[in-house]
Amino acid sequence: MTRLILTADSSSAGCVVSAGVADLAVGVELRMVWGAPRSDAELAAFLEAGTMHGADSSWLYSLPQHRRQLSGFENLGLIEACERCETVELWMETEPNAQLVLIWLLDYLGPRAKTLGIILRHVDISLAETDPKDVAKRKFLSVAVNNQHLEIASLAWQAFRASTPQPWIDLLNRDLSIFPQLRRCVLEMLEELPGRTTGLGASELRILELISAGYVHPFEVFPHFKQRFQRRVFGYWEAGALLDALALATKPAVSGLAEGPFTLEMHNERERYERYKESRLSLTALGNSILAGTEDFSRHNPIDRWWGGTRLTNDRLWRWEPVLLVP
Amino acid sequence: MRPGAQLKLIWLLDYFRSYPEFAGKLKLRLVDLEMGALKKFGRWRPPVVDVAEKEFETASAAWNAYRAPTPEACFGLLGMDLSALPLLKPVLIALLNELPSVSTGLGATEMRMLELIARGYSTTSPLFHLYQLRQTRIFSEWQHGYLLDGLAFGPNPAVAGLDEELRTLSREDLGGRHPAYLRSRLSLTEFGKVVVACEEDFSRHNPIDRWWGGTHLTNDHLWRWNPTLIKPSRQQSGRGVP
Repeated sequence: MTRLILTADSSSAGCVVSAGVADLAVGVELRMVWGAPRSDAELAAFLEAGTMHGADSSWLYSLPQHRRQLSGFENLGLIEACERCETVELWMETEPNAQLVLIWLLDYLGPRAKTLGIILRHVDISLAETDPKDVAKRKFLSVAVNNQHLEIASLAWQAFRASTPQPWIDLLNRDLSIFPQLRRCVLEMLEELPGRTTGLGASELRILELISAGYVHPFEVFPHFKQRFQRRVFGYWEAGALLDALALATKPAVSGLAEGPFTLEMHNERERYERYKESRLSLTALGNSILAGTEDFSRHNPIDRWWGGTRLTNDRLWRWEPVLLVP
Repeated sequence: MRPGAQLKLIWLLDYFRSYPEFAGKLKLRLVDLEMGALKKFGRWRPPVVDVAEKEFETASAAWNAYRAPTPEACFGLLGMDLSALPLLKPVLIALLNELPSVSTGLGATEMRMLELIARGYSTTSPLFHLYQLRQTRIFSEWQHGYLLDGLAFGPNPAVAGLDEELRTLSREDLGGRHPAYLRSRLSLTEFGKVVVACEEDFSRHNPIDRWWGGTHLTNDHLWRWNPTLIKPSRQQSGRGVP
């Protein structure tokens, strides 16, 4: 029998196996924070499929083939695999994408999460950045999934998938403490909606701020410099796409990006990649005005991106703004 | 990078601004990692910038805003270009999040402590020390203690189990307070559960008396902070892409 741990990415999964706390760990690597929402059928197919035809085709994709074979999981859907395991634990970290994967999985499993005896661990460190020996020693609080988890997970997942952000912001008036990192996730996702004056999300604005501060090379303004970037929603590929959108727009906010778009093909072509890496970025007049709060990116450029289940376009631009209330 | 460090930075720059003979010599290193965690500097050299008028202006604006008797000026800074001090705006946002919220009357850290206690974190150590768990970073260990006192010792406490000796120990008696916090075994009261559910406003049932920068927050003078959503409007669609 096997101790199975599910995480939200493969490097965290590797860490828990190295720490000896799992026989098998699978990183369920869907990026919920980016792109058009997948349909319920597509998401279910992802969890039911054991066969692979691309990165987004199966929950087992991130597991190397020899491990899939060794585990006997090849061709198994998530529920069948869980049934064969002695214990199944969810180790989802604090970042928004991991929290979204958590609520999605519990919404999908529903009452089966209870019958399968799934345990939720409140992981409060970055697993991939922690020595596996230290992970082995840590005692994260754990709890068996119960009805309250299922209720809030379902509510939050449906809110995220709604066609407007309204149900999502309404979550802030609910008791979310059953998932201790969910409230933070709600706020950080809201901050990625276009701001009232700038028309840009928090990560886009942060890229502009860092360029203005003197970080001139593209990778210097990427979120993997966590302390510098301060925003946790987007990852490497997503940041590349955000910078593309700022620099290659009809009326750019950033100048100097010497290559693009930020694709795998560009990474595979050494000269193009080097040219990208060596780009010297600066803000355009529009970029400076946006930072100064006097211009709105969306007034000069087409917007068409997804935020959860909300499609943001120039005509349908939901915005976010913090408000100070006078006593 | 820490909030306290950024506040000291703006204070010092504001101070040096009055001494042109020193001001010209100042250079700023953009330190964006925990220096205390470095075993050695090695080849790490944080980017250096000359401190010029833009840096001084940003620092003075922020320092004066922080010391003002209301949070309005700090709030106004959010719409300004603060990139001369690139780690300042995230700190400012974290600070504003510590203002009382519209629904509960509690700041972000107070609410986080209640949420974590609700989940079974019954000792003070994880609340005070585990930043990754708490995800708020404004306050020090002792300040977390004072916030917890406020949640536990009012007429309608949200938290039970905080050691009673803390009611009478002076705030300066750190040697006495430390073991009292360690002895505490925390849980939520029924009222605390209702606050966590955002169905009650803590400040309607308890005295509030704390400082936020230069703002004295009291029940009669409770500046609040609220994230809001702005729906797409006709006006907006009219001014779309040219």
